[in-house]
Amino acid sequence: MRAQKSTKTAKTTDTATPFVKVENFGITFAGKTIIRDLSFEVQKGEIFGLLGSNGSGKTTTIRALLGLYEPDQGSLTIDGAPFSPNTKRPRATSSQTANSPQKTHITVGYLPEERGLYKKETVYDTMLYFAKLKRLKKPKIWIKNYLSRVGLADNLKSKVDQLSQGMQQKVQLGITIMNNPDLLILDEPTKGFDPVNRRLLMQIIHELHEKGTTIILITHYMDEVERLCDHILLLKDGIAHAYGTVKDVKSDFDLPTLDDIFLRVYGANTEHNHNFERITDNLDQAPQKPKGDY
Amino acid sequence: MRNIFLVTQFEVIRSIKKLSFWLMAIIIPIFLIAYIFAAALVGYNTEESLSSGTKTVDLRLGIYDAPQYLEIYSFENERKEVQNLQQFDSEEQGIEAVKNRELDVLYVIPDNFVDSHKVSIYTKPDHNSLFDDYSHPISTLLDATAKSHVDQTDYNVIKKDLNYTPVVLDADDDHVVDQSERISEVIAPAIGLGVFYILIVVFSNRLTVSMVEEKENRISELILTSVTPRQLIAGKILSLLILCLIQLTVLVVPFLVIYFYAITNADIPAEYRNISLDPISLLQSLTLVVASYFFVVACCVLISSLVPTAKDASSFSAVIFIPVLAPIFFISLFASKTPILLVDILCICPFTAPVSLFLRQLFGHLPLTTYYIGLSTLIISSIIIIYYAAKIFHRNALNTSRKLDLKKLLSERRETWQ
Repeated sequence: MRAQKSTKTAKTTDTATPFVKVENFGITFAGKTIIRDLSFEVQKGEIFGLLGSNGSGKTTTIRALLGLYEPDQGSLTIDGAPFSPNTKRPRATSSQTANSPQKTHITVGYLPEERGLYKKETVYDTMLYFAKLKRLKKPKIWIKNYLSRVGLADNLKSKVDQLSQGMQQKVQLGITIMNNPDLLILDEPTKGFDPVNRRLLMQIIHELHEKGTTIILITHYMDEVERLCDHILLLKDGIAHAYGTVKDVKSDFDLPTLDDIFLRVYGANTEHNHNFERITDNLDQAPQKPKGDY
Repeated sequence: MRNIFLVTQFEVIRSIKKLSFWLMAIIIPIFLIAYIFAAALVGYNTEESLSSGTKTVDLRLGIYDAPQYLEIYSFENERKEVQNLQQFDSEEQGIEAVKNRELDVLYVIPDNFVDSHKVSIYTKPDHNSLFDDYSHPISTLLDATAKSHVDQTDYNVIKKDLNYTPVVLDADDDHVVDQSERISEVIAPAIGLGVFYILIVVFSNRLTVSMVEEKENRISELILTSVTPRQLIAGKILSLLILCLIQLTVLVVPFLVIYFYAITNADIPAEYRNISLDPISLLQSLTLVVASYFFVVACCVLISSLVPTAKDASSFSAVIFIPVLAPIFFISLFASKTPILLVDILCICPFTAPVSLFLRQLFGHLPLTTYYIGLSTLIISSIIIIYYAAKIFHRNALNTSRKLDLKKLLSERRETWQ
């Protein structure tokens, strides 16, 4: 454990300027420390896996990075400055994409874990609103092309609350990626997707990565992480327990898969495991007569 | 600025697309017009039935006039037909006719009518209910008889059919204020008060629901990475202002049409015909409407920032109405010209200032100093509340479930201040 913890503040690339930089970040809610002295860096163009169990502090970190929470200590920057939707500054490099040649903003796409849309609006109106807010050029064409690609072309004029949960997720994903963001943050993007749509999503992520988008991926699917991520950070109770390349982390823990590392870090003491044990224990017992009147 | 415009545009378009918005916008003026029309119609019908005996057309009427007081026993109905009363030689004969259903109504003018001023009206139960009034025909005939007994001026005095020309002396007695001038002074604050009332009743709930929507639908995270909380709030407030203007247009246009129709076609008193708005009074009312509206909006934004659902926001925003509308209960104090400390306090307290200032202006007792102090209080309070509301909105934007706990909130604030 000592060896793994020693890696947590190591720079991933010494020479490069990090695109996302979190330094000594700490945050407390109602007297409870959620994140303690967290530091990590994400390099431009890489896919970074932010891992951890529920309540480990992943979403809190992302929200603080996006300025939705104010940190109690430390700093969180994107391209050298705290993020704000309005902050105008010249882009750090000349690697501008074909779709957005005149960008003056660092654009961020964020697919939050808690997903929602304007339920009484149509898919088209909702996407058009966000497209305008994100300053998308030719938004109507983009929206139609995207919806065709994800199989929602016939739902252009459908109201959001008439769509299934999976369809709504596709709309949300479209809103997240529509401005071809410099930084894409996906909080459990495949949650609720069937294998077909999961594959489609992975293709889209891959394409964006090819275009140079920096991606922070929060997921519980370790196979996705192993396949996609360049670097990972494993959080538990707001503290980094593993940080580095997938290969380095595996080597540090001396375990063959990230699943094994995850189980090692969270061990048998997790609430999930306790509950699981209780359930399996109960299976061995004779069924009890239900209490109360029916 | 662009983001504020986009939020405003989105909110306005999605509201005006909804049928419910237009229903509300149209129903309010229709309801008001219907109310005025119904009131006017009731008055017209009463007048009509008294003067021409419209109700007598379908009734068989009889009379026993013991002192031979009446000079006319017939009257014209609206179809210009002459309706005669069947005359009886004795009261008993007439009552017998009613009993046998040969007559619907019998009027009996007794011998001592000149002293008693009493007329008996006989009907069968099926021709007499709480809602029927059979006194109109006889009243019309008695009125016509009385008119023929006295000269026209005496008759007008008795009937109170006189023209009054009100002239109001100014407080210092050296200037005579014309009635139409007084109406011109009163009309701006009266309209201002009415507009303010409609705005807060109709639109405050709309704003709270709109403000909480992102939280309730869990869009906060998605949208706050594209716009700042202040831009979002500003856009929503502006959109509400535009919707208010649409509502006011829908409300005002029919009234103007009716007013101009009335002054050109109807016989209305001269003082209502030549109303010209006093520019100072109009400016004061306009600034008060705007400042008051923004104060209520600021309070609604603050409440919406604190609570997680629209339902909670609606409950809490209702609390604002109590102090805002409280000055109406002290209306007699505002009518008085004597300086009253409570009135001055109500005029500078931001919650009570809107209605208090309108009432003082309405009664013509709003000193310029009080107006400036009240207005400044409203503007400063609105800015402070909006500033903190935006901060709290940002902080609570992701709070989609926690109920408002004032105790906890205050303790958290205290920790921050220390």
